Amino acid sequence: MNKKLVLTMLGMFSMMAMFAIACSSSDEETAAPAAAPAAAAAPAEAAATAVPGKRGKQGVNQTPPTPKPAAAPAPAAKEVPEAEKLTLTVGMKSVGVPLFRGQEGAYPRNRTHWTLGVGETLTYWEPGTETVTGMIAETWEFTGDMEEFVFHIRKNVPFHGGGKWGNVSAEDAVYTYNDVGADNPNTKHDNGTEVSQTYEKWVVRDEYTAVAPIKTIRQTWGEWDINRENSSANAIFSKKVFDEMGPEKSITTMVGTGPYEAEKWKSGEEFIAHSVPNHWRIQPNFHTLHAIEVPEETTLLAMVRNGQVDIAEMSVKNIGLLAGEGFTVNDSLGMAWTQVIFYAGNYWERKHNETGEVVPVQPGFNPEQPWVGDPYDYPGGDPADQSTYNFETESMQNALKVRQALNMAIDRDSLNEVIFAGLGKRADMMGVPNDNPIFKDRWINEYNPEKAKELLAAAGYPDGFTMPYFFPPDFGLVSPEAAEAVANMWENIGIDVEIERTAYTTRRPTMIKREINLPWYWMSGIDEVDYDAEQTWLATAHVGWQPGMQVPGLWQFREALHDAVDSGDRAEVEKIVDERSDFLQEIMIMSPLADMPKLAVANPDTVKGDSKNWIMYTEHSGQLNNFETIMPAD
Amino acid sequence: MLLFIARRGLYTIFSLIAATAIVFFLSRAQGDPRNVLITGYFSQEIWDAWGVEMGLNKPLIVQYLIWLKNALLGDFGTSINAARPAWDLIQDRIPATLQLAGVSWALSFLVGIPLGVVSAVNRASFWDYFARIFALVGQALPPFWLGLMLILLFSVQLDLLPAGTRGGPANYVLPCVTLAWTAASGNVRLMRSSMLEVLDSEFVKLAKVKGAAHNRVVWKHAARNAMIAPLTYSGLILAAFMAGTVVTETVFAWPGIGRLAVDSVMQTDFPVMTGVVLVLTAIYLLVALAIDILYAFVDPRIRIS
Repeated sequence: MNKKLVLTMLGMFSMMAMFAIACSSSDEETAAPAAAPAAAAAPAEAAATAVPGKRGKQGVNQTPPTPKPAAAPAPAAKEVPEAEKLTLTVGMKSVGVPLFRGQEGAYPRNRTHWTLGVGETLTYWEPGTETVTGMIAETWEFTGDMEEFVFHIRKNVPFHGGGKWGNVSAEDAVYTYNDVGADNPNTKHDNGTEVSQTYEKWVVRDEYTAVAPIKTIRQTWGEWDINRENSSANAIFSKKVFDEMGPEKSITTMVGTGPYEAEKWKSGEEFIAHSVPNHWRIQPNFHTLHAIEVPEETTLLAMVRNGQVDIAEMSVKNIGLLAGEGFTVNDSLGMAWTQVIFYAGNYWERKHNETGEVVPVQPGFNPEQPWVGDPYDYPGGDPADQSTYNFETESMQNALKVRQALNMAIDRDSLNEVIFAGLGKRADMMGVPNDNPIFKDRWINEYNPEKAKELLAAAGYPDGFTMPYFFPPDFGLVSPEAAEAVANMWENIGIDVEIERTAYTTRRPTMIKREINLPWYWMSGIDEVDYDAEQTWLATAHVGWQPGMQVPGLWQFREALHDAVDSGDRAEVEKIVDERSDFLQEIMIMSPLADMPKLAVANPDTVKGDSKNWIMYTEHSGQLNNFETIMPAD
Repeated sequence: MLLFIARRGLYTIFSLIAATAIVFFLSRAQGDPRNVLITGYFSQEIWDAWGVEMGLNKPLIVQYLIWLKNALLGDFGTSINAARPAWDLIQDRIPATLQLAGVSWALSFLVGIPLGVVSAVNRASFWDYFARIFALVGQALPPFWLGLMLILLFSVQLDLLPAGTRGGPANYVLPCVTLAWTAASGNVRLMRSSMLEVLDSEFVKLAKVKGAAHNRVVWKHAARNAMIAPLTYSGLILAAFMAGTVVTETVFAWPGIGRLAVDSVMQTDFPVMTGVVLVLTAIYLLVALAIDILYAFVDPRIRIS
């Protein structure tokens, strides 16, 4: 028997040894790298002309952008000795997914090619100058009859792969945009539907001219085509790769045109890329860019402290800690996310704001919930007829008192000081930062727990009530600490809060189906007066995502605001923002809390990571970017 | 014996199918995965096209049967998040998990068994107390806390070891210690109690009376006979390590299959989710089957009963 035991043990040890041996050479790449880097790419031939754009919307009334003077071509790279080749190591929550086809570009993974310096787009939002500048597109214009949008592609921009995939041509731009959605109903790209609604199928006019026939110019057109939204989302991919590798393999064949050429890109693990010699646009200071995915923030904190990473993205609170220890904080992304509570379940709209059709009572509408009011609950009120909508019903007024009490129980200053280490900003109005000149003091939300209790009593809840409350702890732009702090503040006024910590994707279907009906914590990107904030919290019956509120009237504010922006009448814009904000304050359908900035932290011993030396592009999903410009520390 | 193996094999297959069915249907209870991709400018045509592409346009039971048939042929479907075959993603992650599990398992065995023996042989000595405290602490500490404390001490304060990620031998130390400590504690306790029983048996006394050397009695006669229970436990620990090192992988940024499982749940990536569970269940059941068979070889009473 003993021999058998020994044999058994030996057998198990042998299994382990085999595992170890089998695993020791397992570093296969997730995605296929392109062939060896080009020995010497052609220098930027044409003077790189850039075209100023306009932040925000560009409607039909606007003058097409005109070219601005040429930007300086990239300096020629010096031959760097092997010993001096530097590596920049970045700790990230996610290194993204290697997807080199427009069709696969669901948000926010479609940004990562560009933010990591592998892909380049037709245009980009130039940091610091706030202008739209040509990247792969050298210039662009509308035709006189506004029927076409014409892009002139820059010459002599090579794809990665040592010449195997040739240079970028109009064919590549056309292929990319048609794949994104102009000619592809199967697209998963988050701009796909916008592209298909805006354009007919793109066509090649000549080798370096791509033509986008315009189907409809929508009010949001400028957002999706040449400003920051699109400039980070649609890297130009190689048609030749698609033709030769096929629709499946082309997805993971890592061929871009950026200053970094990917060598290894494993989602969930790491991204390794090397600088492209003599890149047409910019020569990175670090030869190798190594991004590591670190899901646990405490671990990332340790990696910053022990020098394992040079740069990291993490919560504002921990960045505050590191700043106190002498690490460099970079705020050049210029983005802040307004942390906000939506009082979901208030589905009041009964008439579709575009089609005029009757909107059915949504499945999530339950006026028994204390924070939900019923505007049709009075003699003569007809739930199928929005013309009988009445904000003054008892149900609506009591629910309003409850929402006001919940709002009044929140100590915004403490949230910012404690949770965001004083690096954020108090937020009182959605879409209008508190430090903006058009912000009005009347929108400041009072913190008064005692008065909040009185309001609850007046609404019929002197002893409080039990309230479910959801926040997604997995969503990087949401602060779980702040979300929990808010729950505690509500507990202080007598609410029994039942916290639901659920993955965002689990809850998202309830938003699509209009089933969500509990207060929940979310965020909204903002970097100035946000004329398009409704993209995030639009309270209408439109199909798609919805935070749980359908409020008659908000859509009209949006339409009026867009028209005012397009007309260039600044006074009218401010007037509508005022009215909209007053309306929001009156119905108290959401509670903005604080603007949480997206910051990066850098090790001053290894890199110049401050906001003057490393200027990131304003990028919608808040991914760190522009690593190619980072310089090593002196 | 063949009948015993066949019976166990059948149990394994049924368990595997049951596990996949549960996971498949539960994964769909989370909602239609297309909901994750919807934007505000979405249309019915796109919804339908995705349905055809992802195979979601058929009844759920049909979807499951198709998935099961494909899975048996090695096709788990295409990842919604990564647009690659789910099996490719799983394959990518298995080596990292096997490395972590293998080294941790070996460490737990090589530390736990000798410590258990030493503890039993030297009752009420320093080594006995040490082993018992080691076991108590190891079983009491939650891995995520232990991992973070080890990082704080050895990476931040002492700057001796990397805080995370997969890499050279130094990268193994902290995650393997984190993972192995609890398992080693179990080995210590099992081995100690088993050894105490064996040391008190007649054949050990006889060996002593016959003048056999102390070490020979302890390690050749007693330890080998006391090994049955720890061996079974170690086998199950190995299976558990391979199937469930999620916490340790997350804390140490170790790109293993456990993290893939969590990520796929977060992203509603059901092809990967169901594929991972199938693979993990298969690993667990196969290891358990192997242990059952080995145990039957070791102890004939089991196969007879």
